[in-house]
Amino acid sequence: MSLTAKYPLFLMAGLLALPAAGMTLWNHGGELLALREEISGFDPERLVLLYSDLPRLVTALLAGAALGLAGAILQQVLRNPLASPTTLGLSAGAKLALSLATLYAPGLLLLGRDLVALAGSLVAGLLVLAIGARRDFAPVTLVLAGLVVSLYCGALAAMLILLNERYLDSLFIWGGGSLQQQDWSVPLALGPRFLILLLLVLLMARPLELLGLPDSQARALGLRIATLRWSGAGLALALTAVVVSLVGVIGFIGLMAPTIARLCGARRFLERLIWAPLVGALLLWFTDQAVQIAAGPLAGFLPTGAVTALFGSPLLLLLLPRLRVQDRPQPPPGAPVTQRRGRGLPGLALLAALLALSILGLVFGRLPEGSWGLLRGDLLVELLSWRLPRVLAALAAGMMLAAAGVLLQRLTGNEMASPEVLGISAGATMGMAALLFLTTSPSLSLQFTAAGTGALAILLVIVSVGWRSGFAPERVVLAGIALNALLDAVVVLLSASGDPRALTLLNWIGGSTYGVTLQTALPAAVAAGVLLLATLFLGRWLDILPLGRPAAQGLGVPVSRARLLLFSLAVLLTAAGTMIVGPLSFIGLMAPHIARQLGLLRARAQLLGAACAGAAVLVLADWVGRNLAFPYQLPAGLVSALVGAPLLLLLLRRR
Amino acid sequence: MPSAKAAASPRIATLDYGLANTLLSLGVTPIAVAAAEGWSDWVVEPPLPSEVVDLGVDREINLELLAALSPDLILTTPYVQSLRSRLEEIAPVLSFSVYNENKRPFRQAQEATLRLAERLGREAEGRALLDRAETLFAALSVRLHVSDPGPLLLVRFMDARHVRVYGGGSLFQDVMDRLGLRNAWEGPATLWGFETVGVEQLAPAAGPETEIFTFEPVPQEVLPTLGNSPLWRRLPAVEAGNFSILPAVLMFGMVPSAMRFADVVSRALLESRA
Repeated sequence: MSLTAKYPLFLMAGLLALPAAGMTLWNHGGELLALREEISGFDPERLVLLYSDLPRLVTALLAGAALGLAGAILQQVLRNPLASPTTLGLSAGAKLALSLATLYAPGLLLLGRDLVALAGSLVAGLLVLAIGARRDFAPVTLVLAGLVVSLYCGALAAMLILLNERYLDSLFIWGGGSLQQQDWSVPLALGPRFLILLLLVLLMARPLELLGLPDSQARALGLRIATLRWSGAGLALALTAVVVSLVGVIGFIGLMAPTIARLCGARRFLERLIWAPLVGALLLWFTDQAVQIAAGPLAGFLPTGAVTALFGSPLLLLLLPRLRVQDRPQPPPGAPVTQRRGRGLPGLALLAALLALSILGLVFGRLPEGSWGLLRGDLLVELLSWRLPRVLAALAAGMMLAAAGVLLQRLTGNEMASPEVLGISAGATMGMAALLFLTTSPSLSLQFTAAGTGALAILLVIVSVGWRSGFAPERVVLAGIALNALLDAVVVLLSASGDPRALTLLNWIGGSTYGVTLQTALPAAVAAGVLLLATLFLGRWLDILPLGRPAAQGLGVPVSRARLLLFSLAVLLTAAGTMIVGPLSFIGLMAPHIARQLGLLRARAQLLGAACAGAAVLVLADWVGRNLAFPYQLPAGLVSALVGAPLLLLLLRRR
Repeated sequence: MPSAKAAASPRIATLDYGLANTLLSLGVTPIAVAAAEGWSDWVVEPPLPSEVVDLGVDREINLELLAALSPDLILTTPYVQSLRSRLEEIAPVLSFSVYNENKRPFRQAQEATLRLAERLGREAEGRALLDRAETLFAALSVRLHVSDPGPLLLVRFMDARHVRVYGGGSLFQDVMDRLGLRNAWEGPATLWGFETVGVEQLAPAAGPETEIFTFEPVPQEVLPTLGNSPLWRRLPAVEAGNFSILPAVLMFGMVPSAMRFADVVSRALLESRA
């Protein structure tokens, strides 16, 4: 533990602290110097310094430290280098609880926003931990559960915003983690809570450190492992909830700080307990001062929490290859889940369900007066021209995303892979978002090109990260989280700045079939048909590739060419599907699992089954979205995520 | 008599509160309005007749419902331009731009009113509406000139920390110019005439002479939190007791909203000086 060995840590701290201090002087130096003078009368600059700038600075330091500490503890007790308040869904849970309270029980907010947020993050955290506990806190399961809970909360919150646009403006800002203060109440509330929790953590530091040992050794030392884990996790949860309730969602600091500390040489847990909060505090201080410079004195404001996510997620991608993660072996995705081997029956059942739902979607629902009923006669003819394109588009998009999911799961050997989880859908959406800023009314083919380019770029990142680790689930999933968070941050920043394009983007992300016309639905249907046929044609490769390169080559498969072709198909399927239902639908994750659960194990059977299942779920989601809140409408992608996410959590629990 | 008139009036659907409000002032009741549900919170006066159909959120109105209503004419703004081609499949579309880079919404609203009145064959009613507005402004500005109020700061609370403050390019600014009132906010404002800022950034504009006005609805948890904040309480205007919550006024409205704003603000100013 000599000083020289810790050289990189001090260097890193200095690299963050010096510019942060410099920027602080640049931003507030004049007013700070003026503090020595006597005040005469009302002095707005001094008031702002004393009640806004200084509490903001202290809040940044405290929140950063608390999140860094929470991340370090979570990573230790869960033995999971990917654990953090962001990746475990804690922040999203708190945000959702606040949205719900604002809309349906405003009285609760008078009791205290903090309590409401605390309850939300507690529920989310317990849900994720409970799922993780069933599988001995396996890192992948835990982070996947966290991601799913995060996305679920995010989808619900987004839906509330869409339905109550005008009321929830403030949640946009809060959700972005604005550090702006107007008195000392936040730092004064945050400080003591942080210190008490820090003290408790330090009291538990020794036993917690021993959790790093293998279970057998730790047990031999007389440790009660489960108790220790739960109390450690509880402390981290409390730290997170306190920050989230008082400040808002500050993305990724809790993941970045311990990771940076570890990479700079804080190998022992006790060292990380000191360095992770320190790095977290400096990181948030640095970011916040930079945000203030960028925003200028009156030029609106940027929520710092979204900016940390903007920087945090790509930084994580860069750090990823250097992380030493013990990957658990995954069962090959073709492995039987149930002994029941499906023949024709489950496939026919899926097809029948799809047909029934499509017809239901076309003729049944709310009549113009608002009552439920069957459309008949002239009205049916008149309204069919509005409805048919939407149902057709949902069907096509469901098929394409499902097929993309099957391809990706088989190619990466990762049962959690899907366009949504890997961030490929997010990439497609970002491509379209970029287009939104370049042109005013892009054509359909231009949109497809942009979506495809975005999806391809993300896939390339994933493949290059994945290749080195043999598609280790942790890395690939983490890369996906990072990309989803990046997209989220872009949307939050846009919304907070009041840019009207944020709403267009939000609509895309929600994945409504609202904008679909026959001119877009027909090409989508044709694309779905052609791409699905092409994928089926290559079905044999999909059965063989998971066996590994030597075996596949032995069976005469040109491995590299096959992978390239199949990955390209996945990109095209994802881009076309995402254009219609957005990046959140979860269809690509859900549908292949549904097919497998029904016993459709061979590649072609799984593809067809998944395509039917995906299309059926999305057609149903579209129907629910059109009818539930009539005449107001909910986007199909979000509705499908609300169905898909719990289903996934169930799947996760069962295994 | 009313039934004969109803038979003569065209079936008009509108996607914008301001246009719906103008229609009502011209004596025409629209058959459908987007987000009619929120009318009583955001526009209030005149009340929307209960037979008006709610079309859903303005950016995603229910097209099936609109088609089933078979309107003769659809009124929109460029804000929902993306829907235009689809609306045209249902009925002729008339679009009015009031908030744009000219940043003179009141003048644009006057022109839009005349254009709309002409299209409906109600030129007389249109001109009468504009005259009523001018008469109101003239009368109020005389009374306000006598009482000589301080500058105004118009805000809408996003939460206890953030406000939208209205400046150049807002309907409020144009009306204040007509009434001879001074806006305390001289900072930047977007195309829509407002800027989102932290409460403390109001400090330079909130001197002891300034009147701070906000409008219903105010988010519920805002007021208790404001009461605890030195930054808010020690704003000289707030310390002097110059803060009040006024009834709702549509911030992106047209001539009727301008009149309502003039009325509501003048009443508050004249009462506080009385």
